[in-house]
Amino acid sequence: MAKALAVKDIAPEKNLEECARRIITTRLHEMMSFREGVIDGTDIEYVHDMRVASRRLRAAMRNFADCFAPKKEFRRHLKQVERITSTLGGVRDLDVLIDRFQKDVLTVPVDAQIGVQNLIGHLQTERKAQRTPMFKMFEELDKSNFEEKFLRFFEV
Amino acid sequence: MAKAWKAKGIHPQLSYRWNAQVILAVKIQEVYSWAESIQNPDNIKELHNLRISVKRLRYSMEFFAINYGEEFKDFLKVLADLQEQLGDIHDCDVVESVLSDHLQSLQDKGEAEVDALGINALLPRYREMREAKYQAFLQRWKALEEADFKVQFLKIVTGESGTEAPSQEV
Repeated sequence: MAKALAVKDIAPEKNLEECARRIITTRLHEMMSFREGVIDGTDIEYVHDMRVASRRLRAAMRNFADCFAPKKEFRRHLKQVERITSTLGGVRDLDVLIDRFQKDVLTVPVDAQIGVQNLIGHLQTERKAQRTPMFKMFEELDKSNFEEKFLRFFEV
Repeated sequence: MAKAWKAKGIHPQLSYRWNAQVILAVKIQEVYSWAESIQNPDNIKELHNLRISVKRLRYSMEFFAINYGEEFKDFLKVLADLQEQLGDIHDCDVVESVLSDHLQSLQDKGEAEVDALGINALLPRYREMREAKYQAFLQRWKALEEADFKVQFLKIVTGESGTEAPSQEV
């Protein structure tokens, strides 16, 4: 799991709202930094890292919700982040299973290997299908200027 | 997945440090709300919910760490370890469910007995692993209880003098 990016210019004596804004915008940048790797799809760790970053961002947004208004706009941004976590989750779960069974296949008796190989094939087909809504999600985020609007709402 | 507990009485214009203790105390209570139900290894949903609550607390601790001293990091490390142990249990539960579903679908289709050999080779392995992981977790949890972990944790988070217990809503 990638370490969380350090947040600059926060301090115990500063007010919560300022710190919350700095934390949330840092977490957003962190999350979006994994996007290209996720789209490429070769290294499964990008999906994992982006999902973890989205969870960190969500945790911050929920904890600091009282700092932000209008509530309707806040909730809209939170919903988008929740969608990112959940969409990536569908792909990540399959990545983990495929990786696990690929290791397992060599540890079962030879006559049992074909069954595990076929299961892996089935999961790989499912993974491909799960990546389609993920691409759609990225397209829609771009179309709606999600990142720009998010940063404008939360900037210090 | 259970909803996160929301801390009440947050003051955006008060200091980051002051608000940290209010929020973290509620997150700790959320984690311990699962304490009883996880004594039963069959409570898969509750163990999953505990894992999620631990994760929420851990992420919250990460961004509040600046408000606390070195000792806080030891508590953060314990949380990270618990999260990993619970993650291992959850992974076994997911794998078992995927293998069982796959086996069922093979049987329903009357397909490939050969395929079932592979699945049946893995299923008992994951069941055993799950049991071992659960026992290891439970042992760790009990050791923390014996060491009064929760009380120590709340003291660190709210300061030795203690603040009033924050209220919470689900």
